Amino acid sequence: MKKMIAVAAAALVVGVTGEARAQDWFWGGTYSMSMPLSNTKDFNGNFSFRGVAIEGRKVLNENATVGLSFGWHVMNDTQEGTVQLENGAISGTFMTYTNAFPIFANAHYYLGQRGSIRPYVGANLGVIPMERRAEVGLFALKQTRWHFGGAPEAGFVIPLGWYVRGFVNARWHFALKSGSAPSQQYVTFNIGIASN
Amino acid sequence: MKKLVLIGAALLVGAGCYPGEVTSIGQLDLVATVRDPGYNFANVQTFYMPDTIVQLNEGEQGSIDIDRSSDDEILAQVRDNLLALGWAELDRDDIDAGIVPDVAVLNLVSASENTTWWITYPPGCWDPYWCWGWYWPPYVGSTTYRAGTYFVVVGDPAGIANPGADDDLAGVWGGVMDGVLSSNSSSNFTRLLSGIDQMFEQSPYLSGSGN
Repeated sequence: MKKMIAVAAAALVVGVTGEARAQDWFWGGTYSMSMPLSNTKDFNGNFSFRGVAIEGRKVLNENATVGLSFGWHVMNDTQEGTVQLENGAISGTFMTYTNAFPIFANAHYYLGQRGSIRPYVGANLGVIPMERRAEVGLFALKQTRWHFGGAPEAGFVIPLGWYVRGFVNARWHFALKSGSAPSQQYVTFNIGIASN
Repeated sequence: MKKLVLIGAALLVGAGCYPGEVTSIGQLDLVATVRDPGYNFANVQTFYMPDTIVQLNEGEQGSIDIDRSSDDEILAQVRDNLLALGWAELDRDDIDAGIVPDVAVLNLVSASENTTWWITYPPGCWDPYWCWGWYWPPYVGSTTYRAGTYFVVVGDPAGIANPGADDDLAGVWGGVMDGVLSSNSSSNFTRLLSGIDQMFEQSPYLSGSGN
């Protein structure tokens, strides 16, 4: 957790130091909470409060930006129980973890006028390296796969000052099947700050 | 700025986070069972179980001495579960008289002290000592723990008529209880008995149902 806080702080610093260097870019960092869905929920079902992201958006015009984003979302769960296998069973305390690192190119479209609270929608497309780890007893299994994926997004930009904006948004992440790793889905709820 | 973002990305990829922690030693227990899918347990009516728990790794490097004071209670726990399946026990006299049980049940154990060494480099430093123009010493540590494994093996003794053959006792079911040994032998004992019960609870087919 300390590592994530440090990274989140670094992301905010990256955002603030970007101020005024390039008026056509704005940079920011977000704190992310994750709600697993589908296969991801089956593996670790808990709502997660561990996540960060950094992002840069280039202003194309008053209503549109394109950019890049990089996130780190952690989901975990602990369950006691028995897993039935084809010719046997395993019982114990199963601790499962998913670390997802979405790397996206994105585009956003903003409604409303500059200087006001502006709703926006966006689309993210790229890759999501995901590490899934399961521990039971003294044993651990880990699988790391790079998934093609994306994330439709909707949110609000909130003016906080001359160069600083806050934003809140939700992203539905989907990661396509990759080799033996099944498809994954989760929604992040993000609160961030950005400057330009 | 783009460089900073890329550096941030490089720092993050591969740096997994594993929140949550083990709150009791029992959370490190594992019970696993495996069966021969071609064996029909409905045909089992009798068993023979030697009154000895065999230590597999005795005298080997890293092995630790096992407290034998509770062997009888542990064997009784296994026996109770076998009898609860409806199986009848044959004793030594029956075996000496030439009666062959449907299955033989062996109890085995291993216990050892293990040391795990680990080394961690600062995140993002592919070079062990230098990254971002600075010297970063790696973090080095070790963990020592005592672990034990208890095995219950059910075998078909049909091959015993050919002593010395590799397939003397064909295993048809195995149960394993694995965990960390605490300094509290009472705790270890209680967890082992629960683990033995769990082996049978998760193997309902032993009673002949579902074959």
